[in-house]
Formats: sequence, structure tokens, C-alpha cells
Amino acid sequence: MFLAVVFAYPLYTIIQQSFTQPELGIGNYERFFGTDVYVQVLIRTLVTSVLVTVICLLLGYPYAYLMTRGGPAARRMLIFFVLVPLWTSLLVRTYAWTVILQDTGLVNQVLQGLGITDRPVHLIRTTTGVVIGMSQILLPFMVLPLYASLRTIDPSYMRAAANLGARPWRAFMRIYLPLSLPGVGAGSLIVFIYALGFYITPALLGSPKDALLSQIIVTQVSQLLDFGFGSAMAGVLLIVTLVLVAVLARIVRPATGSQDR
Amino acid sequence: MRRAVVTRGGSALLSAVVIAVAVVGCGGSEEGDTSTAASGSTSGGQLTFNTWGGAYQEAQMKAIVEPFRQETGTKVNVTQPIDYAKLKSMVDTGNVVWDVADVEPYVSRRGCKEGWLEKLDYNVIDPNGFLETMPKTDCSVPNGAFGLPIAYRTDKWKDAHPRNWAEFFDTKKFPGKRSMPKYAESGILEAALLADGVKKDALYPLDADRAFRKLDTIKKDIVFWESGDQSEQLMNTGEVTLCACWATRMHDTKVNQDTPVAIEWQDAIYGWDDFVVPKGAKNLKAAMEFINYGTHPDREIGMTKYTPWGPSRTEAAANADPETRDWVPTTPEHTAIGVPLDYDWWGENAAKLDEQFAQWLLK
Repeated sequence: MFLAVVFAYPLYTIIQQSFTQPELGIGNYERFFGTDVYVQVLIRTLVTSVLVTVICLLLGYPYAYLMTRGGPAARRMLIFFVLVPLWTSLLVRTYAWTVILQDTGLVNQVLQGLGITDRPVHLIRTTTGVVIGMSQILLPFMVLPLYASLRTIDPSYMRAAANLGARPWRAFMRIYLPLSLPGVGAGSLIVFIYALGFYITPALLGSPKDALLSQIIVTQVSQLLDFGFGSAMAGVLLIVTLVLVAVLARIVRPATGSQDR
Repeated sequence: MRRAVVTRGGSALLSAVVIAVAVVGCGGSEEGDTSTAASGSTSGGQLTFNTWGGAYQEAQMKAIVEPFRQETGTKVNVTQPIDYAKLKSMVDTGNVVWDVADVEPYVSRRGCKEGWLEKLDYNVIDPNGFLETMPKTDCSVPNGAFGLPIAYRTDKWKDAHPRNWAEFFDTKKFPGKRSMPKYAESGILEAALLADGVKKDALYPLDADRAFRKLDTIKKDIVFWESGDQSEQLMNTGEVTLCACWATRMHDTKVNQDTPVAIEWQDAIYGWDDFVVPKGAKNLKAAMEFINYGTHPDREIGMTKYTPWGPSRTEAAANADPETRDWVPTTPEHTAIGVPLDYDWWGENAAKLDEQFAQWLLK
């Protein structure tokens, strides 16, 4: 009941608005898919989210693995390093990235100080900047589920594989990786969905050309006062997210089975 | 999100977050942000005034709100930031909390036409003495102007700086990043057309396609600012050394952060803000009195003591405070070489150009 009031009702109004303002029908959706730039933004949102998810996975997997192998003290340390950024405000962290990445920022000062470049390397207001910032911010959401999953893998499986003559790489691919897939799936899903709706980081670290869907929704609603079209965009984002979650959940599921043997 | 929301060191995005929350319909921020000029007297009524926040609001508090409270005994709640989406949805949903709002004139013209603003009572408000280039309407009176001149870092451009918009757009002569405002009604299109050789009395109706073509030529060198704070920060850190920026903000960063910045007033674009009353406001009478009081020449001169906000009445504009006068956009010496925005045209075309601008940004 509580959920219905605070969650379902606003959602219902948004969807309803998208079909009724300014007039009844699917005009808003036709306009969205009929305009090249909006479709491009949708595609860019998806591509950026995939990219961020992959980077988080590549960084998060070895990290989570280290967490499972370290002693209690090392593990506490590693968990601490993951959690600290999580406790820091998203806005503060993004703002810190602008200070680091801007043309007169830390990275460029170091590069120029070392004589590696004489002109600033443009990091901020590029897709690179957005991806760097989003990856750092979303990394904990990858590491934590991964860690939870990797922790349950019995190390003796790997020893058994080695015993039976598997080289480390083969043992990893055949034994460890499949067993870790539920964690990979959960982490990727969380990171990907978060990334789809990201607003602050791309707005601060990207240029208008790197705008993601949530940014143009804000433009429509608070700047252009076009509630109907903004709602339609939100509707598109919601539907795309639901479809992808359904697909991903299906991909991940068979691997889950292998764990309950 | 157009103007100051966070005073200093804050970011544009904080305001965006506030707006995001506000749009979702959480009215909580309102109470949180309220600064009340509590009334000592019991005689007066009350009134809620919504404005932009930051140093601008502080100046309004000192120059208008406090004296108004003392003279009339009216209790004034001051809320911020201004949010056009919220203003419109207040009227749409019949829950009008604001009595007076400080908005840009393309909004007041659209709101007047679409019927979500009250007609003003010119028996209470003095209708005379406004600058010719800043006309009042049935629903709005101008309360003061912001200049959008060329601002430049004096340490970077010691010997020569861009002296008009054509030079501002000349990236060969003046290489490096420059900042411009990120919304269509700011004057950015006018600047582009002036740079492209359009005469200032032939700007309207705007040839938007031509303006966008001209902007395309320097698009990769433009860093867009979304809030006044952001423009100050860009100039202060030297991320950009040239800026189409509000003079009030450049004055602020020079005085408070020692940023080496100066203004070129030739062809400086200026727009202004209106006081408006949302349809269905609960304290109509007090709202009219407040608007009349706030646009009195004495109060407008008072404003210029704190910030170079351009008076809208000629008498005040001619007598701006000597300390800030060089930064005030509507003094006779600055209007003589300046370019006013035509908000009657913008009122008709804002929606269309907002859309075109938003799409152009994404390209």
C-alpha cells in the first residue's frame, strides 16, 4: 500500500502524461523516435552504460578476487577502500573529478610538468571523462555483489582442477568463472541500470554532445516546460531498462543453477 | 537553473538536483530554503517572493525586502531558486504558493498569453519611467537588467582583447576556449548574428539558422555555462579566458575572488528580469505593493550598491552607485553602445528555439 502511494502512483502519472500532453495519443513517442538526435542520445546512453559496466567488471573482478584471497586484515582494508567512496556524496566525487580532469587540472598539470604534452589533453567535456567518472562512482556496486559471490566458491575446487591436470587458465575458465557468473550478472545488472539513469556525472564531466537521456529529460521538463514529452522520454528509458533486465536476467539464470548442485 | 542558485563554490548541478527534486513534486525544499523577514508589526499582511538565490538575492533582501517589511509591516517569505516548471505547475494544480516571482521576460510574455499569470494593477504600480528598451506588459514589469558583455581575463589578454562579437568568434586572433550561456534566450544567438555582420537594429526577427551556422564555426571551442556560479568558476580557474558572461557575476568574481577580469561593453547584449504574479496568488494586494516598492528608483539605486544589477527606471539607471557603475548594463553610457534583447519576439518563439537549441547542442 505504501509502495503503491509513493512509487506506483507517480509512475502512473508520468506514463499517463506522456500519452495525454499536449494531446491524447502516441504523438510524443512518435516524435522521440522520429527525431534523429533523440534516438542518438538513446543509443549513446546504452553504449556508455555498457562501456561503464565492462570497465567496472574488468576492474572489479580482480579486486573482488583479491578480497577473497587476502587475510582478514587485508580484506578489511580492501572493503574499507570500496566503501569510503560509497559514503561520499556523489556530487562531491564528481566535482573532484572535474578538478582532476579539467584543462587546468591535476592530470594536465602533471602531464605538462613532466613535459609529456605541451598542450592540455582534453579529458573533461568528452565521453572519456564521463566514462572515467561514472566507472569510479559505480565500481563499488560491482565489487560488492562480486565479492559476495566469489566468497562462496570453495578454493578446493581449483586445487582439484589443478590436481586433475588443468592449467591455471583452464581451471579458471572452466571452474572459477562459471561459478562466479551469478555475481558477475548481479553486479553488471546493478551497474548497468544505475548507469542508464545517470545524470549528475555526465552533466558535469561531459559536453552537451555527451548528454545522456536523463539530461535531456531534465531539459524538457524544467527548461522547455514540455512535461508530456519529458514523460515520454522517461517512459522510453523505463521500457528499455525493463526489457534489458529481463534479457540479462535470462542470460544469467542458467549459471545460477550450477551453484545449487 | 538559469541564474545563481548556490552562492559560491557550489556547482550548477546542485541546483539541478534541487530542481529535479522540486519537479518530482517534493515541496519540502521550499520550507528549507525560506528566509523570512519576520514582521515586528501585526498590521501588515504576508507575501511569498520567489527569486534566484545567491548574491543577487542577498542584494534584494537588503535593498528591497527588509525595507519593505519595515515600512509596511508585511511579512515576506523569500524562497529560491526560481523554477519555471514549478511556477507553471503551481498554477496548473491550483496550489499557488508564490505571490511574486522574478522571471525572465520571455516567460512572462508566454505566461501572460497562456493565462497563467495575473494582470498587474497599474493603479498601485507606477507605470512610468521604464527604459524604452525594457517595456512593461499587462502581466509584468521589469525589475532590472543583466548585461551579457564580453568578459576577458586581463592576465591572458593584456595587449589586445576582443572588442566586438566578430572578434570574440575569431579563434585565430584569439585562440583558446571561450564560454557562452547554454540556453537559447540568453543572447547567444544575437551574439552570433552580430558576429556574422548583422546590424544591431536588424537582429529581429532572428535568423536562427544563420546564428547556428555561425556558432558551428566555434562550437568546439565553446564551453557552455549553465549557471552563474559555473561561469565564475570557469573564469576564476582560467579554464576559459573569454566569456559571454553576466556582468554581475564577473563583478562578483573580481571583487570576491580577485579574478583578473574586465568587461568590453561595445555591443554588450542586455536582457532583464520581470516581476510577475502567478495566476491565483493568494496575496494579490500585497504583491502589487511589493512590485511597486521594489521597482521604485530609490530601491533600484540601492540594489546597485550591492551588485551591478541594471536599474529598469531611467532615473535610477542614470544614478547608479559610483562603486559599481562601470559594471551596470543600463547606465546611459552602456545602453548607448549596447544591444537589448527583444522579449516580445522571444515570447512568441522561445519554445521553438529552445527545442532547436537543445537539438543543436546534441549534434
